Amino acid sequence: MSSTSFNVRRVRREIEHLIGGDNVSDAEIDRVCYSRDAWPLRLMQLGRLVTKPRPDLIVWPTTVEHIQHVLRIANAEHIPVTPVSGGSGVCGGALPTRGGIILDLKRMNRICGLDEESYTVTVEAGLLGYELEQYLSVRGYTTGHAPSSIFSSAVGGFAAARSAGVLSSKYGKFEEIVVSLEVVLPNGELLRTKTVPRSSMGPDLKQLFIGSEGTFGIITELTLRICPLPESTQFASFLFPDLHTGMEAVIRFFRRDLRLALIRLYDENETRFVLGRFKSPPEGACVLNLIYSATKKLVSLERRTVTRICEAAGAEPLGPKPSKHWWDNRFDLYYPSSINLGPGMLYDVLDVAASYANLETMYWRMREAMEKLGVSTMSHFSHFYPDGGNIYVIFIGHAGSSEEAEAKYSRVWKVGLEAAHRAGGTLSHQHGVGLLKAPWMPVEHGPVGFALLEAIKQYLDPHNILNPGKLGLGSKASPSTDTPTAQGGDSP
Amino acid sequence: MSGSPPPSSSDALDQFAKVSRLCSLCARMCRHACPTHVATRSDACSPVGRALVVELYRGHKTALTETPVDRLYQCTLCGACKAWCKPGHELPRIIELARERVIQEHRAPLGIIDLDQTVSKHNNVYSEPHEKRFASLAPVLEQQHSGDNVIYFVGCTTAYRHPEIATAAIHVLNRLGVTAHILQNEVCCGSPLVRAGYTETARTLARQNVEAIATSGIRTVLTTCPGCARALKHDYPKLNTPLPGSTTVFHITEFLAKRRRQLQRLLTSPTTTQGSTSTAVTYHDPCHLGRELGVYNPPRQLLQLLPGIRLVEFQNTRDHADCCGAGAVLPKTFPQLAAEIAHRRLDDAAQTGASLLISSCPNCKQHLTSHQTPSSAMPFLDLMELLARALK
Repeated sequence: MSSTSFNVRRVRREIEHLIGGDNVSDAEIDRVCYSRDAWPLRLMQLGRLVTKPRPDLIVWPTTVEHIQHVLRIANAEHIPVTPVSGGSGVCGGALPTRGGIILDLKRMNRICGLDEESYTVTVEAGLLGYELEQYLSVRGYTTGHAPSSIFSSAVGGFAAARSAGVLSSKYGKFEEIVVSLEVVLPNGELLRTKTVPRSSMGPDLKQLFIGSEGTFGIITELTLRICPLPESTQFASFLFPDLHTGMEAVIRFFRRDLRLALIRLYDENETRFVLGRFKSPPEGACVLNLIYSATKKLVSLERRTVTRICEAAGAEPLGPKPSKHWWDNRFDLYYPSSINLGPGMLYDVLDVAASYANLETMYWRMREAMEKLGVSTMSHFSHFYPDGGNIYVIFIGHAGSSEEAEAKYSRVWKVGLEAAHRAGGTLSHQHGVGLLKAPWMPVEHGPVGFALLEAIKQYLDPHNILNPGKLGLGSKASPSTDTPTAQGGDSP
Repeated sequence: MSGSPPPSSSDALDQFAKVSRLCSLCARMCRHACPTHVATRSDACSPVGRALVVELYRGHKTALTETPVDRLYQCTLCGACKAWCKPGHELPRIIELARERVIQEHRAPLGIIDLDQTVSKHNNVYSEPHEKRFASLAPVLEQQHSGDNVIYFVGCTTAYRHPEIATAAIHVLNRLGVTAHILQNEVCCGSPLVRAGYTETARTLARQNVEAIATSGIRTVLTTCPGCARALKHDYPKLNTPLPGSTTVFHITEFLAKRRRQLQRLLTSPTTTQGSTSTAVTYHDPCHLGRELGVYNPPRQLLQLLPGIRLVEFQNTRDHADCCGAGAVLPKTFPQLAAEIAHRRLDDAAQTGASLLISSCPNCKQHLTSHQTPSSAMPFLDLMELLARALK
């Protein structure tokens, strides 16, 4: 659905003239291919062959100058521009809800430099995470950023959506991995931040764009921190009598200054799923999967300390197999199946976070609210910090028809996020906002905070061309036409 | 979008409806491995994009007009998507079936619009005279002594473009006491036609070859072309033209790997080049041989036999090996895309540091050598050529 009107043929010719005909398409079948990302609601709709929202044009820039050309034209003509790289987002952030131009960055995939003295790599935004790790691993390095979407997500998207990988407890979240950015602003101007380890010259501008999901500017190049590949990687699992005991053990890890590569504590429902092939756990028991990944000496020390803490808490050691099995099969749930995408089925994952003081309360309240609507849940806690952690609440259910499933999907999200907010949590830890959580942005940031974000958007993008409607920004400037694909974002 | 007449309920595509639906909704878990996507970086030119074309067609949301047809034919059917798919969805088979519909609706892309007529008329894909199919093999065939009898199914590309592979293969077989019999009425195996959607013409060719094999009385068939091997083993039964019951088809590397001990006794001369003590070679897994027939170890076992040869693997190898770009008539339909894919594979070969590129497929050889540039001009040999040199 296009809410703007512009002469597509003329604009196409103009862009083709500037960046070459091979880098532009308005073919209908191509436009349908760009009508989706990995948002479950959009996939449910696509499963019914709903082919909107479609862009009017797809543009594949290969240089920064190409992006500048396109944005200058879009600004002059007030054409919406939706940047996309991997297109693996799960919140609708790359959906061209108002038509216009999809700017696919995947042809900007060059590796610009590896600085083995500073331990940084500089890459263009359209390089896939998998491609980057392939390049680094043969040279003995890694960024350590390993999201489940790594085969399909790109480096620009990692930054734009403020991503976190499964090993982030050791390697950091993506905002910590980014050293510097190059960004094209909506008016075509180029911003480069300095490649320095840190600065106190006022606010850190790069952080303004990390998490802005293409609403403030288009990230085109990134310098990232890299680490040597770990000397040793070992796996371990422990079974705790209940969730609370497991949580207390994890907190003790941090109090003993441990920084494991992976800490995942599963609730009783997901424990049954995770341990299915290994053990039938007692009622209420919760499994903790761990990965140690460091030098051999450090791994040995971590193992000894962790084992002491877990055994003192009454946990049963399960050996390395459950954790290793999870690691080897961690992408399985990312493949579509008749279970999660069958007609009438609904599913998704809420990724929230809170301080330890609120974390367990938030979990129980969310679970109660969501299960009341007749869906099943299973959850795990991961991405732990010294002061708190996140929860993945996975829900799955069904309804009489696909349309009813989509409506129920929205209700489940609404009660889940309400419960998280009331318990003092953030409504997204790492999946971002997109359209799904756009209506919740004022709730998350409060009226003053959200007004500030709106003012920044207005300053940077007065014509509201860049990814309009995402993050709930710019909606005043252009009344929302996103509703048909924003059902997950029912008003809070 | 305009609709098209609904396919009949018996349409084979419908049998794969669940798979094409799931592939169209996938989070793109195989896109990074698709050679055409890697070359174009377009989501439309990707496994998910093609599955979506099929779904939209099945749901009467698109007709098989030029661009949807282009997207279906911008695929080498290399099977890399399948290798990365944990549930193992058979998207390449779905694309083949969709191409059948394209042909039935007379919507073939320009590059292959008369492919079936060409092959029907000449019995090969190169419009070469049928009577010259084995012309260059006559001297080596005449020198054969009697031994264990096998049929050597030569195939179009080996016969007309790379007879040196056939000469080498026959030499190696002879040294092992095996007599290679050529089917004088051999015709194209039909693989390119099956891949392009011309199923009926492929069936006609299959019948001719099956009859020739049946008449020969020999029940062991060897090929040097993985495409021919796949056609004889897997496509012919699907075309309802199976080989005589007791017939066994081998790619020649499988056949020879079973005779490794015998080969080893014959191998005496080092095959090193330019006086060095060892030659680093890299091995390109042909898609039909690897992912389709599961033949990964035999070529490597043969390479290990060769004195002075050291195998250095590609970064993407075995079931994750990248396609050379020659698959499924892509050089005819989208030559520029096919060339781009070849250049990437050649660059990857150079990255290995090897000084010799080896494969076991005349089509890979044909395509890769024709796209070598001064910077990627690594000598290329079929494994049979390397073996034959070592046995001289």
